[in-house]
Amino acid sequence: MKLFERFRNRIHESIALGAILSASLTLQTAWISNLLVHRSETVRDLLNILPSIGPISGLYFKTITAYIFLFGLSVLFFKGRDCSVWRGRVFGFFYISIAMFLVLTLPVVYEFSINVS
Amino acid sequence: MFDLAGLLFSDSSVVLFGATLFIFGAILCLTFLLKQKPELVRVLIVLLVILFLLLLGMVSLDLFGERNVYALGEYSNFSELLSTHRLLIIQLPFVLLASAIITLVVYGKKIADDHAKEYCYATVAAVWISFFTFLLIGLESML
Repeated sequence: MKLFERFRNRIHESIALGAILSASLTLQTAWISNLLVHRSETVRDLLNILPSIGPISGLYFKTITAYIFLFGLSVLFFKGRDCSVWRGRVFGFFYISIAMFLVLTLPVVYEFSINVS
Repeated sequence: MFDLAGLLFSDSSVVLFGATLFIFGAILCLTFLLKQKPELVRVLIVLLVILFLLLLGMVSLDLFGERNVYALGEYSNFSELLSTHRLLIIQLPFVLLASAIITLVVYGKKIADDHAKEYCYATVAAVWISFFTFLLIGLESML
């Protein structure tokens, strides 16, 4: 019984830190995918899973799968490790990723191009 | 006579929008109390899950239903750019809320402890950024 209580009281920081890291990496993949959709016809066609909606369906599907996959990988990576070493860096990356996603999904930014004639 | 059922079926998107705002309001209040009253974590988790489902419903309606989801019953002539932008940034609340839910489930009442302060701040930041993104989406869809 005491063993069970000890297990319940234990904090699985690897899961929480994995969630934060996977969120950061998912946001990074999201803006990169969006940029690729606008620049490459191949990627656009590849992500056009539901033609009635367009490539946004593929983008959503990619985001969901990326989050689940990266979450699993992050948890496996942090499992059994000292998370306090990684904590600061992961949180820094998390806030930077949010800022990057917000800026790089602005139409002015991702549609920017220089035409040389 | 006020026809609630009629309103729910004819303007489900507006009802969802209002419900989401209502839940957001409750969650934002709870984020202020998270440090002082860690017992509220369970309530916060439940509300975050409801919010997540409401957002999912809104996106489904926006993608598979009519296109006047946030326009309070009127078609808004928003540009293609703004439409694309709001469909892109809706991913942010989903990712942030999922992370906030996982963090709160893992830490529980211990989220208010000193050793978990980074997680507490990240959770609060995730909720507030999601709220501002939601407001931005609402504003853009009315343009």
